[in-house]
Amino acid sequence: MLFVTFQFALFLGALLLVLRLLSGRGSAISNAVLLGASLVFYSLWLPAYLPLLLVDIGVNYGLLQAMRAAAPGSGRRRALLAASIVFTIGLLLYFKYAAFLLESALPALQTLSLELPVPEILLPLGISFYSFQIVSLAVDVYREDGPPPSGLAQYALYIAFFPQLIAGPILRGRELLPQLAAGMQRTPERTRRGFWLLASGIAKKVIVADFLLAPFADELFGAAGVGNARFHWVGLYAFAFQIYFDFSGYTDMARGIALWLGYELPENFHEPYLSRSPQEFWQRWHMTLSRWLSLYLFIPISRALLRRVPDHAGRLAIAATQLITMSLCGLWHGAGWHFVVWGVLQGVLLVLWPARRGRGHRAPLRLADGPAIFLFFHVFCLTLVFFRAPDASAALAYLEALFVPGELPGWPRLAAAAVALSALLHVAERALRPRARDLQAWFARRPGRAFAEAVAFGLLVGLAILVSGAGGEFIYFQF
Amino acid sequence: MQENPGQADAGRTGAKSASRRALRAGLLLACFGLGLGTVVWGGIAWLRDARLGRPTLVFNYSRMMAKRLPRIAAARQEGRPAVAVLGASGLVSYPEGRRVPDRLQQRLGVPVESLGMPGSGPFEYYFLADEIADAGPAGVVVAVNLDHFSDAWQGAYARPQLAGRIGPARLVEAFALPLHAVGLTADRLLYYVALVQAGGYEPWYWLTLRQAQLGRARDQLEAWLQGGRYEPRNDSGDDTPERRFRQAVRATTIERVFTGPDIRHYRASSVREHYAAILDGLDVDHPVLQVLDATIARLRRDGIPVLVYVEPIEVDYLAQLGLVKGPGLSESLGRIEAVVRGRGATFVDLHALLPPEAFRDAPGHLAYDGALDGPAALADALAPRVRDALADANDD
Repeated sequence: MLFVTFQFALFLGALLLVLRLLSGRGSAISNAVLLGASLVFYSLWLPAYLPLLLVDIGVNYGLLQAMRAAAPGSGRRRALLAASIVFTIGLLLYFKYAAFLLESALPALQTLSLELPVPEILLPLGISFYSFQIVSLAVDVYREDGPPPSGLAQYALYIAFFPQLIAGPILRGRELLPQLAAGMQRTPERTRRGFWLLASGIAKKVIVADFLLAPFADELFGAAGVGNARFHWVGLYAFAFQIYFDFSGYTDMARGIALWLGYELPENFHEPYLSRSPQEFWQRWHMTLSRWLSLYLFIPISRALLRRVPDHAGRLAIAATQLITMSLCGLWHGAGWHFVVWGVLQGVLLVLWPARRGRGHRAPLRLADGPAIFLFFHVFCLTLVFFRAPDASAALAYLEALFVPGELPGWPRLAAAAVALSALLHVAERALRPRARDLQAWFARRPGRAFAEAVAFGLLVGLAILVSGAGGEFIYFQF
Repeated sequence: MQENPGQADAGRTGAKSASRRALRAGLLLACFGLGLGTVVWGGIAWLRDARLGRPTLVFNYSRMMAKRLPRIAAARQEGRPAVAVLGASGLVSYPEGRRVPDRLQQRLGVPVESLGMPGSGPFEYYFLADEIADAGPAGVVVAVNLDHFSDAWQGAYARPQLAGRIGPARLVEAFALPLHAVGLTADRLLYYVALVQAGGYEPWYWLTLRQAQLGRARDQLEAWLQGGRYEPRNDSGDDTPERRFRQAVRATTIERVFTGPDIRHYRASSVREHYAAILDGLDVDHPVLQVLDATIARLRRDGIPVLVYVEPIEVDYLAQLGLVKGPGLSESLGRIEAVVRGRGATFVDLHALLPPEAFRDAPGHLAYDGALDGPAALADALAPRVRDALADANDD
């Protein structure tokens, strides 16, 4: 069920009503209702997905409990962690990558006269996200770095909590489990913040990403090489902003819905296209994925490598780890070689881009940062061609078209205007984000302002309904 | 027990604040509705004269059914039950009087009602099976195009919204079918059915039309930004750089998909795209086979004779490309036949019926104005089989 559909509005309305009627009956009851609703939400996509999710939850909970019972540092505990990771990632590999790996191996198999049929496997929704969340909790419990779940129901809700089940944010146990133990904390402030996030998400996803940007980006990537270089550049910018507004819009909605339910989810984006370097970018783009990659891939691999290589090879080991991590990050985004190429390019950028000394990603922007932002944005856009194009050869054709004038005169002014508007919104987000709570409090102070707020929200939803005829799925659902 | 005055005061205060909260919530909701209504009504007023920006075939289909199904029901009441024919453009993309159902009627001598719609396929037939059965046709002829089994077809022409026409009694069965192949998730299925059952079909139609008009409004904005005036009927489509670009895209697509500008034949890669599933041998659990099976079962449950025929394709051209090799094609046809016969329906394989000159384009539309009249030849082959199927049903 997409967040931007009437059926979801009905589902959420019914759930909030039930939770309202049950308020005061304790967190166990409300969490049980929330778990039931999350499983219904998941199965309303395709009922066939549900058993896999339940098996994943059941087996991993069993392993987690056994791990907790084993002595810290013992071989049994390590074996149980390994079993949990192998089981979870094994399922992910099978459902997401089996067909891709077999297809990739076909030429080699054919030379050995082996004919293996490529299976048609339906990708279970959200498996990339919830698998990472399962692994994250297993490792944290193994390391005793955060609270364990208090029972199967709480563990299941941690995995299946519907606002974040399909496309994140990817949580850690310490973020959600204590909240689940405390029960829903619904306050007027949270409800208001939820409204703002929901409004922001609807505007980003339905109006900016789907209506203003997607049609042009789709046209261009569907016909690489046609038109002229100006069309291709505008198409590339359009896609860059489309994917940002699509995914960050989804996250805003997920966070807003969670707030209505009384839970806080972490932020996932901090205006990534205003980054001055790839290092900063990955601290601002899909932040919960970056954190996962850093905590559960980069740090363990680099530590293991550093222990094994001589001191003078330390930098090389770090660079190799960055390349491995980002290649896997690319593969996580999709089962295709062009995603791997995109990941490798991100790794190369991280290795080669000069590190900014003294000024981290939290340093305020200055006018002098303009050239660095401009340069990195364009380099990142060029790598995005591999992300969006259906395959590597289409990506190369698109890249070539960016630098060939072409015969078609003119340039796409509406699409360019949409891109310019998106860039302005992106900058405005940076200016507004730190002030959002003050602004919300200002609206809350007078009843008249609250009514104005409600009218504005209505205007926005009305506009979204009007333009949502061509509403697409969230780009990140496919990952 | 006497009530404590303090408790009574607290109760009154509580009730007062609860009613105040309810009033405030009501006012906020009204403000929200005001904002929403302003945009939707304002936008619709602005769009009133805009032309449709994208196809609304789902509703065209529904409208067509709303006109023709009553004719089938009326024919039954008059004692001359009609034969209903389901199919895609291969059935109906000819001048009036020369379509396949028209030709069939001429040969059968009984009323034949066309329920054909360009781009439709087994999924649409399934969604509409309840209504067709309820109309009480003498029999149903189902045209199956071998392209129906491709992802390309399902991706290009899917109309999952038609699922709203499924009767609630069939919902459980529908959940078990692979309707996700046309993008129909369980929540959408439930929502569409609930919407239609609640009588929300007309408002839905109305809103969807307005949304479709908005696409055209975007074109107008595009033209305005280019300093020109939008001419929707400009055939050359070169009045703005965007339209010139789209023309170029169209030309490139034609070049990539077809062997020439006359779209007479697909290139080999496009043939693979459209017929790979069939040429390689259909899986027994192919989504289209399952849905076709369920459709026939639904019609047969009401005792309606069903005849399924495979539409002609240009097999000579496929053979010329070297794509018809091995047992794949015959296995696929065997699987379709097994499904059809398994439900007690009649199967007629006409895929190799016609010579190359009977086709006018790559998707398999038939030539009708040359030496060989494709739809007539098809009806000639089909009519006796339909007659037999109807006679067998009467004997039973």
